[in-house]
Amino acid sequence: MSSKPSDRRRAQDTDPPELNLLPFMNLMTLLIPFLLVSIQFVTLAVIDSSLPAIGQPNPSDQPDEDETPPLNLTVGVTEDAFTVAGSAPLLGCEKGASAGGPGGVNDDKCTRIEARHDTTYCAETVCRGDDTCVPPGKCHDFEALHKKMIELKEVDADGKPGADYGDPCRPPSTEANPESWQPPETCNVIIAPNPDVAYHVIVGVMDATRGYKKEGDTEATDLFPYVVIAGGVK
Amino acid sequence: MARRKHNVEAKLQITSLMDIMTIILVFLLKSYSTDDIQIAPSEDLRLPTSNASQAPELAVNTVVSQKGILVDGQKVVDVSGGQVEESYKRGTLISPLFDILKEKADEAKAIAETRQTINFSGRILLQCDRNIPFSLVREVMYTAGQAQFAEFKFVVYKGGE
Repeated sequence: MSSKPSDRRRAQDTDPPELNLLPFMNLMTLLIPFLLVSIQFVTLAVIDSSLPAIGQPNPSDQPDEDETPPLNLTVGVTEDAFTVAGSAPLLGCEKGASAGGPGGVNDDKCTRIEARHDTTYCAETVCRGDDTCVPPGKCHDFEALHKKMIELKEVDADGKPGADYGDPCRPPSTEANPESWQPPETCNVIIAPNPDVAYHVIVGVMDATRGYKKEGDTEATDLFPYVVIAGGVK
Repeated sequence: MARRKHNVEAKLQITSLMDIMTIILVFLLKSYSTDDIQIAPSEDLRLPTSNASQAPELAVNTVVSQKGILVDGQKVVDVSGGQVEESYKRGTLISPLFDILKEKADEAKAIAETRQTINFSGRILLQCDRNIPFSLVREVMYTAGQAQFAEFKFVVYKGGE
């Protein structure tokens, strides 16, 4: 009885067996059009703002004489300057100057941040994400506003780090009902723009007043994240 | 000769195509969007860029572009030169916009009444072009406020830091 000749040598000579890739190809051709339609080129975000509550002030809410008066931080936006008003001594406002709304902000008696004449800076801030825009020679100084906000949050009236207005703006983790938690008044900012101010400037102001990153922190620290836009009068 | 030709099977070299496909697939999966809201960017609607990080949520969608105001994709009123024509306005109120927003609010309230789990929140998404003047934004906000939408969400491009 003769044995069958070995197949081993012949098997080594031929090419390795090919995978049947067709089902996989089918899958791919279906998946790619599906994913193409749901592709996202830009990420969106939203900024919250609410209308100011209108109503008679509650008499029991009246602050005591020795308590810190409400901050009432107001940022007035005009074509060529920001006016930061509020009851914080740091802002150098005279009493009564912080009454909000355009026209209500007293330009002379509060911190005024002039527009910057710097084309490179303006190209960065005004033309953010807009290729067609021509950088103007003059634009709002968001950087200075941002610095002022940090200063306001971190430094107390005597210029020492101590923070009179440094209350946390988010509900504490021990809070049982975070939905109904009310942020302190020192987390609010009222923005009062002039009618002809462009919308992106207002967004820029909201960015400058919202929060900042401390060195070494991964999470942003809140400055004044609750925005109220004052409509004012024409 | 003819017989030999018959034996040769035509085979597609598919491996390189597979490579491309796999790379494209990974790329597409990475940019897959599950956002609730859709925007249609155009010449007239360039949203401002912001460092805000809050994710958008579903609400009545109002678009204020250089050419017109749209509510949920439906054109409401024309805008030219950053203004709505005076005849459409009653003071600060934009009448056609008010009517349609009132309708939306009433619908939402009717739903909230029948279903206890849903509350009428008065949320409204505002997509405004970056260059429209504040006066128009204020008119739209005022009108929305009159139609009982008081919680504004300004939609912006996420960028910067």
